[in-house]
This record gives sequence, C-alpha cells and structure tokens, in this order.
Amino acid sequence: MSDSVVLRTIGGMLFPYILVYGLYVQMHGEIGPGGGFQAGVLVAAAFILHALLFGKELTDRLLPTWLVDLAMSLGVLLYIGVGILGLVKGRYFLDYSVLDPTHPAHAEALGMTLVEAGVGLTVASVILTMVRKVNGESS
Amino acid sequence: MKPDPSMLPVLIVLLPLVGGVLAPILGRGIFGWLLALITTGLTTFVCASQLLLIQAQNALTPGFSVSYPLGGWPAPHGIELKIDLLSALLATLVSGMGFMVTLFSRQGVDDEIPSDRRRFFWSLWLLAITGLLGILITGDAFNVYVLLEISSLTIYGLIAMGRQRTKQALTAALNYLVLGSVGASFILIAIGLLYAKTGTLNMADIHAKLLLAPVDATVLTARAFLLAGVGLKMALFPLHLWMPAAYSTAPSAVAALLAATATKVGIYMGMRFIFSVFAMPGDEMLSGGNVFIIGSCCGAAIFFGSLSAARQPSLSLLLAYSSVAQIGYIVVGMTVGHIDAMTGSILHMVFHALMKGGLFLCAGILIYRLGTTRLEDLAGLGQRMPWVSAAIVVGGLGMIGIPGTAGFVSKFYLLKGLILSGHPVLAGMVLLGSVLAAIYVWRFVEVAYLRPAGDTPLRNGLPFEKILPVLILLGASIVLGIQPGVVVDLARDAAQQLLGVTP
Repeated sequence: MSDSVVLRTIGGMLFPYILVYGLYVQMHGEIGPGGGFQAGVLVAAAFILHALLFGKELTDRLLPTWLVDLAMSLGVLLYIGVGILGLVKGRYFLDYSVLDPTHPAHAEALGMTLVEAGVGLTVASVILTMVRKVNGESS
Repeated sequence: MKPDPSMLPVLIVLLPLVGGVLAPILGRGIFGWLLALITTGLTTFVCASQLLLIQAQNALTPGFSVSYPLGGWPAPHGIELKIDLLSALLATLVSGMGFMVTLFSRQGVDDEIPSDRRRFFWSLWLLAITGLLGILITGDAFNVYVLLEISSLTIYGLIAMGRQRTKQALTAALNYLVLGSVGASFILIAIGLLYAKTGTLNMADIHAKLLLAPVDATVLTARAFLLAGVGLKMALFPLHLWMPAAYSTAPSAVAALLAATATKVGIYMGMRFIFSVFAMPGDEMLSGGNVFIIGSCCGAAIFFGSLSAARQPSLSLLLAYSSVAQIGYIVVGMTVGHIDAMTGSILHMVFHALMKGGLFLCAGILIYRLGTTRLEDLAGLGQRMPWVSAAIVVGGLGMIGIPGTAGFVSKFYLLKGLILSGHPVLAGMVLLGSVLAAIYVWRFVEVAYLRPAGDTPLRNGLPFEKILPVLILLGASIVLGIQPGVVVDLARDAAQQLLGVTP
C-alpha cells in the first residue's frame, strides 16, 4: 500500500483504462496479435496495481477470493463447453462449425472468441491467485 | 452428412479434465472424493470399451488403430488422437489404477491433507490422470510434451502435499521438479530437432518422412536426447535418483498412483518413440551399441535397485527401490526388439502396476493405522495385522516371480525372448534379479513374522474401502498368475502391432 498521493491518483485513473485495454486485446486476438493469454495478464496486472496502491483488503472487497477461484474453473469449462457442443451435435470435439452451420467463417469467429474468453478468464484468475499465494495468504 | 464419429477417444481425456476443473468448485468435504471416484470410474469404463473395440477390430484387420481428429482437422496438419492396442491397454490400466487408488484413499487423504487443500488435491489428482492418459492416446509429438508437463507439474504439487508437509516431502518434490524439468527439456529438444528435420509434428508423419531421408546426425542427436529425457521420466538407473525420496515422502495415495502409473507412462513414451517414430525398415530397432548401453543400465538397475531395497530402513523406501529394479526388467524387454521379450515387457508393465500398486496401498494402510512404515516399528506385524502382512507377502512373492503369481508369467516371457534373441547375459541378470528380490522380501518376512510384536499403538479401524482395492489388485495378480491367457493375448497383439510384425 502506497502513501504517495501522486501514485494513488494516477494509479486510480489508470486502473479502468488498463482493464479496457485488456478487453481490447482480448477481442482483438481473433484477427490480430493478442488473445486470451495477453489479455488475462493485463487484467490481472490492473488488479495487482490496485492491490499495491490501495492495499489488498480493498482489492479483495472489489474482487473476492471465491470469485477468483470460481473464474479459474469457469474459464476452462467455457473452453471445454465449446468443444463438448461439437460432441453433442454429433461432430468432432472442438468442431466450431456447429456454432453456425450456415456460415463456417462466422462459426469459426464465434468459436475462437468464446475459447479465447475462456483462456483469458483462467489466465487472469490464475495469475491473481499466484500473486496472492506468494503474498503469503492462507498457508 | 457424415455418420457420427465415435466420441470414445476424446472422452478418455475429457472426463478427467472436466472432473479436475470441477473439483475446486464442488470438491468441499466428501464431494471431492466422490467426484474423483465417479470420474475415474467412468474413464475406466470408456477406456475398457475402447480396448475391447480395438481388440475386436484387430482380430479382423491386424495393426488396426483408432484415429480421432480434434476439431475435425485431419492429420497431419491437425492434432489427432491415435489409439492402438498398446495405448488402449495402458489407458485402461492407468484409469483403472486411478479408480482403485481413489477408492482407497478417502480416509487417507482426510488424514494426511489439510482440509482447506483437499479440493485442490482432488483437482491436481484428476489433472495428473488427464495428463497421463493424454500421453497414452495422442498421435502428436508436441502434444506428448504438453501433456507430459501437465502430468509432471501436477505430480510435483501432489508430492509436495506430503505427510504433514514435512521438509523431506518438499525437498523430494523440488528434486523431482529440477530433474523432471531437465528430462522434459531433453524431450522437447528431441521433438524440436525432429520438427527441424521433417517439418511435421504428427508422429506417423514424422516416421514416414524419416523413412525417406537418410539417417543423419540430427536424427541421431534427437534420439539420444529423447532416450535421456525419457530415461529420467521412467527412472531408469542411473537416472532414478529422484524416485525413492519422492515415493516415500508423498501422501500414500499419491505414492501408489505414481508407482503404478507414472513411470509406466514414461516407458510407453520410450516405446512409442523408438518403435513408431524412429524405427527404420529392415534395420534393427536399436543398434548393437544402444542395446549394450541400455542393457547395461537395466542390468545395473536390477542389481543395485534390488540390493539397495534390501538395505532400506522403511517399507516405503524398500518398495521404491524395488521399483527401480522392476523398471529394469520392463526396459530390458523392450530393448532387444524380440516379440516375446516385448510381450514380457508389456505384461510386466501391467502386472507390476497391479502388484506394486497393491503393495503401496498396503503401505498406505500401515501409515493410516501405525503412522509409520519404518521396518523396526513393523516388528511382529504378522500377529498384529495378519491380513495386511499376508497381503504384503503375496505382493512380495509376485516381485520375486514365484510360479503362480503374475510376476512369474511376465518374467517367463522376458526370459524366453532374451534367450531366443541371443542375449544370455541379460537373461542371467533377470534370473539374478529374482534371487535378489527374495532378499528384500525376506527382510520384511523376517521383521513381520520372526520378531516379537512391537508396541507402536494402533489407531483408526480398517475401513472396507481400504481392504477392497488391495484385495482386487493382489487377487488379480494371483488370478492372472494362474490364468494369464487373456492378458497375454492382448500383450502379444500389442507387441506385434508395435514391432510391425505380422503374426
């Protein structure tokens, strides 16, 4: 937790913008550089900055531990879920074409966006959990 | 519209993966154990069905294997799952052992793992099984590396959760982490070299491209790196140093799972790469020099592993060093590339998993009731816990290879193959190993039956879930020792498929 007014003010201003930038990288990943891994790290970095500036109690209130734990699993489940949809429709695992049978390119775009969202969710929450554990919480 | 493809292959990895991801959410209290039990049970069922399907097809068209393109992208550009008889046999073994050990370990995990970590324990547990099964069924070389890392990283975590998180468990996990990472890097370097050489990562495609190109330094270097890396993963002497400490300090459930499955999967990787990727036509699978080097390692493993086992202060360490020796048997059979030796090798993988898994479960019972496996605390165990010590003796007889136990059947095929392929020295080592095994088994018998009963207090009862898996595993080793027909046929077909020999 920092006492410097300059750091806290600028950090507080930057926090939402880092989140938005993370979302941009997340959505952009399908057609260009970016994607779930990078976006996940950016989002996690925003919360780490928040914890450094305002103390981890406040960050925990903003983003409770149980939610982070849940997000770790939900991200992977989202990825697997897209795959299982293919199985349920009688195609191969992770076959995107079932998402939009009439338009393969749209189906692929949708499938990749969903899968990347799962990756982003898991990466962000795993990085946050790692930082939390290194901080020596609950061990 | 194409007919619906069979989804069995992908379910083999999908089920434990979903279970592993659900465990942190649902795994509080008894639910983690139930989830793991149901998941491993279903996976075993799927693996066994797949095995039966492949066996039935194999009878019609020899050399049959199931291919499953993930995402519908056909190989060699897409990633495919490729399951042949050996993969399916070992996948059934791994998932079945996973089920047995899960069934065994409810109270054990409650006893040894702090409650706030249990749901993560079951998550790591299922993810480790996912990784091991994935290695067995993938047809993509890079996938092997990724799945190897999944199984290894989770196993490091599982070992570090060892008894009361003692310093030894953490040290053992760190040792394994360092050595295991070196091994995995070697495997990655080998795969990288193969990719540089052939421009593909699909194993069948690499093999096809290698057949067209002359053998050069790149391929030989790749093979050397691969053998060293796989040697570390399977704990082949002299690369076994991480294993005894890891097995003896890990939670008892983890030790049983590792001893029964993890090293077997390492050996499978070796077999798969040597015989399905590097194999050259009309040539011996391994050159005379390679057979000499690996054969010497196996001989040394059998000799020093058995002798070290006889000197260990605790039953867990004794069993771990005995595993070092048993891995020597398995690898020696696959090295010479003879059909009978290969059959023996595959049989010994299965039987050793049953017997050593059963023995480590017995050690788990001792930890649960006595809190220790130190041999001096086990004095007079034959009177205090007659059934458990009888079970340990039965498993020990299998380690020696007494006729009537499963260990005899696999050693018989090993010996036959080694002698027929002209390696009498290696055959001699296998025979000597049986004598040496008798020494370490006798040590337990002497402590348990010929010494007055000790006074270490017994705690806890002996619940049914703990007796049942031990009975099934060690019972199976006796039944298969007397009636080995089914498994021998399977192993022989798998060996034929792997060596590309027509019956």
